[in-house]
Amino acid sequence: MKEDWHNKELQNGLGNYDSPIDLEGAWEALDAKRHPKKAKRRFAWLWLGVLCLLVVGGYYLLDNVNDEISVSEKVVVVNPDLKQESNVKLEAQNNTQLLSEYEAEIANELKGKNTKTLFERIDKTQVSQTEGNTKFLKGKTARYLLSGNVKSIQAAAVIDLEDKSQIQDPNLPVAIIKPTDFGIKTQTSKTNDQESKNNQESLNQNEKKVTTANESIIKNHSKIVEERSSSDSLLASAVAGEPDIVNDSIPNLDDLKNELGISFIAKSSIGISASYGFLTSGSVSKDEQSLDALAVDVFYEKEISSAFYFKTGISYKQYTNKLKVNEEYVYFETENDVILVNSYISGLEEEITGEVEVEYRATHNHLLYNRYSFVAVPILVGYKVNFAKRSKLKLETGISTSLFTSHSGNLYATGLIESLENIDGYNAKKIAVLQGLLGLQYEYWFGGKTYLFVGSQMGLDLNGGVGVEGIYGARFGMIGAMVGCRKEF
Amino acid sequence: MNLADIISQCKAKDHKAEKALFLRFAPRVLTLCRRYASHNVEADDLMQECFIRLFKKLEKYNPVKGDFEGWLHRLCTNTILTVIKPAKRKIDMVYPGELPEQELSQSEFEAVPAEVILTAIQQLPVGYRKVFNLFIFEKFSHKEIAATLGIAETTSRSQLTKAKRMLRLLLQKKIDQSYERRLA
Repeated sequence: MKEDWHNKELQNGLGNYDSPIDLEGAWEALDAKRHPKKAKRRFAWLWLGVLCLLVVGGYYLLDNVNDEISVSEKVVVVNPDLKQESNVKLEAQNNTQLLSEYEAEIANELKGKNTKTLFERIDKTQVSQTEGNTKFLKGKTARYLLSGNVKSIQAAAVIDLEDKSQIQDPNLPVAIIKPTDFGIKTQTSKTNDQESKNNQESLNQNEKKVTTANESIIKNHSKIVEERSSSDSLLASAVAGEPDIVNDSIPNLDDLKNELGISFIAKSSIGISASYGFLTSGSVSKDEQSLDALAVDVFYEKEISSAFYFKTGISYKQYTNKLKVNEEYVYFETENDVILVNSYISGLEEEITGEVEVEYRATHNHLLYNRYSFVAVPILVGYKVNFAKRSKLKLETGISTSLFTSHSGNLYATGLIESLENIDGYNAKKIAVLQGLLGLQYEYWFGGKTYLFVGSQMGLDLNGGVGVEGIYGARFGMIGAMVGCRKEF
Repeated sequence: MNLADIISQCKAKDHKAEKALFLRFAPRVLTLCRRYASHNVEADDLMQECFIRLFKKLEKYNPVKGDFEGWLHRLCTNTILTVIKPAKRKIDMVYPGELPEQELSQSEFEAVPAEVILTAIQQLPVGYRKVFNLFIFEKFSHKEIAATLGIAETTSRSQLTKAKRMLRLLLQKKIDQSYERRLA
């Protein structure tokens, strides 16, 4: 009972007691807790980066996937009438320049002669291939050719109609051959039905010939490309430990690779990285041939103890060998045709028949590629040594299985396929390879999650391939960048 | 603006009305929290929890069933008992033999400021403090305290006794210190 009054005193004393309080401050604190400002999305930039990576990677993966051997031709035909009548896309070319280049020389050769051969001029050393009457000439050295049995031609010089002043001797019998088409124009406007029919047949034959010629060009060109591929096609076997499948078949291959990479670390233990590799210039024997590689790695790392850690993941690498073909072929075909000759002296036109060489020019601009894919699953055990306050040394070793999936594209490298087939276990363009990996990395930490690193990795596969890779890079928080180079022996 | 209007507007999520309600009851709620807390920082946190719970539960308040202050008091007490956790740190045990048997006189007790009493209550061990508060201020029976805190009734009685004795000791010390300061 003695305590009853204590209880009442307490109840009275504290029951209605208002504690001193900074009301405004307390309200602001409460309001802030109830309505927290929307937290800044820490990883927004990360997802943005990943999105960019996917877009770029997707573009790269899809780029040229549907590309086929395509021969885009620019066929230049000497005969303009053929152009008008043919379904094949032909383009006349004014050969005035060529004509003027040789006219003086030809005039001298033919001066005072009555010959059935106007001229025949071609640099035969440039004939790359001959098939029947078809000649494949390469480069700009190909000129023109006119030969055959030209009937009673009274020409002794070939000049440009536009420049009659070039005639030095007015007594010289001169055939004025229209310069618009290399001096020769085929006759197509016959009034005689039979002749017209004949001409039409002739045109049809010409058209057929052109088509055949195109097919022939493609066929022969493809053959040439294939031959080139077998010697020049290459595959980056540069990644350490990956199947050394092309070194023997590509003697000119220098597999030194440069590499750029970027990586994102979502947490300390999970991350994704992407790298782009490319050959150094001059590493391939032919111009306009390139090799590049894209690698995407997803990795997971877990600490076993303070010193040891376990790392695994999946790695996808894709190599693309591209060959740009930019070549011009000049193709000549002999045709029987009617030639309209004007005599400058007599002012009369005369029809003659004979064989002429029609010039076709084909320009090939197309891109061929080969694409090879590797999927690897590395399993690594690492050991960390912290030998100074800011220095860390990592040693990793483990194994990795790689699956060389296939190649796609249209640049068929016969040598490569043979090389693949010689490897035990190779089965229809697929091969699995077990590799041993060894890596060493030094890190210098500036504090937080910022550090520089330099490392080296070595791989050895069961087929005897050995590769080394050197990388240099930096990491700032969750984002990292690196450069490196690779060499396979 | 009267309380009914404030409550009505608070139910409509009016920010100004919520602030008005807070300004009106915060000092009283803070006193309640300080009685259960070990220190004033914890009391501030408890008060925030109480008001957060208040604004969430205000929809359920029915004026017909009782006045707002009583409803608020119960809500805050329940919130505090839910939030506050038994201290895991070592508690300095005070044995009954060490506690003074001499009662404080009524005049002495009345002279003790409320702040001093609050501070003394905060110095009680958590278990003592809970039982003491529930018995003295919430007027719970030992049976209700036992059910609320999940302890035996005898434990409740024992802890209340010890809490009172310890509080007397603490208050006596503070009174003596105050007396000495005045003499000095």
